[in-house]
Amino acid sequence: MSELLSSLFDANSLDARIALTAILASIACALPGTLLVLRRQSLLGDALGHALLPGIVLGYLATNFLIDDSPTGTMAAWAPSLRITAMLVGAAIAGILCAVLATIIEKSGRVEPSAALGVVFTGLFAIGLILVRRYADDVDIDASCVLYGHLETVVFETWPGTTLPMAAVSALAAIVFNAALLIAFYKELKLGTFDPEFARAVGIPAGLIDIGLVAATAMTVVATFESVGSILVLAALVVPAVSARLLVNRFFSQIVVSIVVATLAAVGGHLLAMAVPHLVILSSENRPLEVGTAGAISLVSGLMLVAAAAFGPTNGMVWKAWRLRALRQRVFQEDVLGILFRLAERGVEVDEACLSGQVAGSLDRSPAAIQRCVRQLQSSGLVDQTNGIWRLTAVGTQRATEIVRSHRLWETYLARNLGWNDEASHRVAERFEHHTSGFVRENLADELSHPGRDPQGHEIPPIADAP
Amino acid sequence: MSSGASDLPSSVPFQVRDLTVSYHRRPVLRDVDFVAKPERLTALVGPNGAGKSTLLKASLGLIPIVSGDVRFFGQPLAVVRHRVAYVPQRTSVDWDFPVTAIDVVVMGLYRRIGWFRPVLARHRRTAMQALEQVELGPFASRQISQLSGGQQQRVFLARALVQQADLYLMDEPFAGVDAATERAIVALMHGLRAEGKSAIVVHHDLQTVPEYFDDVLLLNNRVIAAGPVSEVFTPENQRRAYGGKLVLLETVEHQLSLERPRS
Repeated sequence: MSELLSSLFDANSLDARIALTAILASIACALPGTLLVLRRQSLLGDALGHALLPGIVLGYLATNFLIDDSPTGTMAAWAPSLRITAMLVGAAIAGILCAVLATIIEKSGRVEPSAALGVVFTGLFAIGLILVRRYADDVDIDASCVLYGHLETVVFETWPGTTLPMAAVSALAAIVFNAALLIAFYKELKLGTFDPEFARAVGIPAGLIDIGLVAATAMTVVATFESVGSILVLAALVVPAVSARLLVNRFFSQIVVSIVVATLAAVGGHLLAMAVPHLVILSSENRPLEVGTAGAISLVSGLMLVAAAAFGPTNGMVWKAWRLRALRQRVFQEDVLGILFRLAERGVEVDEACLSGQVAGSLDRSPAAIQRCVRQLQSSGLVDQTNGIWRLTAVGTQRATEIVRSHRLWETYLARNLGWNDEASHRVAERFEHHTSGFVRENLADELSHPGRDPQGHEIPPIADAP
Repeated sequence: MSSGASDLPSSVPFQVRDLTVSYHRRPVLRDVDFVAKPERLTALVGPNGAGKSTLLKASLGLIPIVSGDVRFFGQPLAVVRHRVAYVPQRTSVDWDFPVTAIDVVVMGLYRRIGWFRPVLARHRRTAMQALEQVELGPFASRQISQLSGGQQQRVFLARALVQQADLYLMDEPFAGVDAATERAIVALMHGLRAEGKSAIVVHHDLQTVPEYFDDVLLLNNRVIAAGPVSEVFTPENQRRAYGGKLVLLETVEHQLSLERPRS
């Protein structure tokens, strides 16, 4: 592992270059991805990944004239960057076209948005494929690269004169572009996402912002296409944002956490790909197998999403289950305290047999469960055993008094004010007693003008002064 | 009602002429003519599908109009946008969105803050005052999904209040709110009127129209009647607006439509 890490921090190592490219591509995607997720337009990322193909191909074909007619087909030094620009612009136009066509179909055909989008992006993808086959069959478009990206070979193509991979440079450009737009139009993006109608009513062109977001997403997809591929780009766009959605509840922290998750997923994915070498091993034709670093990154970000769903602070399933368990335990303990109090009222001595018999029976729990609960109460200093007899301690009596007092006050209230019978009011009081604060309890007592006994004639115990 | 004059005094907060709006080639509003009076609270009532929300949205340019003309204070909206505030239906947004109550109220200031400028402390103070005005001060930093329906509605009202407009267009502010919120909204509307402002409010509870409002516009795709409540809010006009349907049934139907989730 330390070897893995040290190679990651050696700027010239191949691993460091792959990791850098992966991190930059992931962050670039996470920025527009956050907005797409908040707009409930996650599918748009997938749609764009496909719909851009005709734009990219046309951009490529439009720059064919740059290649001179010599048999070697060389290009001027500046030509590649012009070609990339043409492909980016083509992609952005195709992306906007996709969004506009989908809106037109949605409005005029009265179909749901995702159906309209589905029709448009598959259509555009098909046109792109036809263009590739008809005019650019010589173009080296590797199916697995298109679908999954291949970071492992992308990094060999470097920015002239440096070891910086071209893919890292284009991803960085996408980050700068996206961040600049996000900072410049932060308010408008926030409002346009939350309440587009209100935005337009106050004169903010929400429609234009929509188009801008589509264009920015399209360009991001193109800029990171080689690194993550057209299928995994959806994971890069959506998964960090969805994880963030489960972890935080503010617009700004949403963006920050998306970036953090994207970065961690990129690093983790790359480490995973290195630690499990057959994932990135090159086959005999020197081509990577289909699941490479990009796939490993998606896997890791998926695992992070699962972790966020489990451990998210407010909605995490683990915390929810834990809180529920704690609540159940508290209710059980309070029930046992209440019973011990009532038995003491009647002068019953509670020995082990009484615990397993009467106490377990009236709470409908197993003797073992009662035993466990009583031990817990003992270790909290609420009950104590002398000469085989269980008794409430002073603190335990105080706590039990509160519970029984709440119970009997509620019974009195329900019987007196709502005319409920004994059984119904007992059942409800049995639940309310666990959720009645001292403030509510004494208000209830005031409201009932401090009754001495409940409807069944039991004494409503007064609260003793704190010991 | 139709003045015929092409130029209205700038005191008339809201005027539509010959307004026609269609959804999928089916006219929802047909040749609507209406002039709102200044310093008055106007109820916009009519059955479901009568085009009440459509009238507000079309006036604000949120949906395209087929023909007709809308003026605010005698001007097109673009010229006097700062004098008009809009309170959309509460159900029109996603209340799980990751913002706090005060964040939403600050959004009412975005236009005044302007492009490329950040939200400053004084903007948040202004928003805080508006939140206190609707008695939501202690809830300022609550995430909006943790507010009750009535509190969410009051957040929307506070967002309109910070705009310091002269005309408030409100789409069903009383829908699905508790009695306390309803009283707060009424008090707020009357406060606005006392400051010389006007409001046009889509309203469903016909019983409270005379109590809450000065004027009424009865709508059912076209204008059925418009004018002071005491003069035009007659059982006869209500029957005409609701097409003979029992008013009680209409109210029940509306309640059901509110409880149904919107797609």
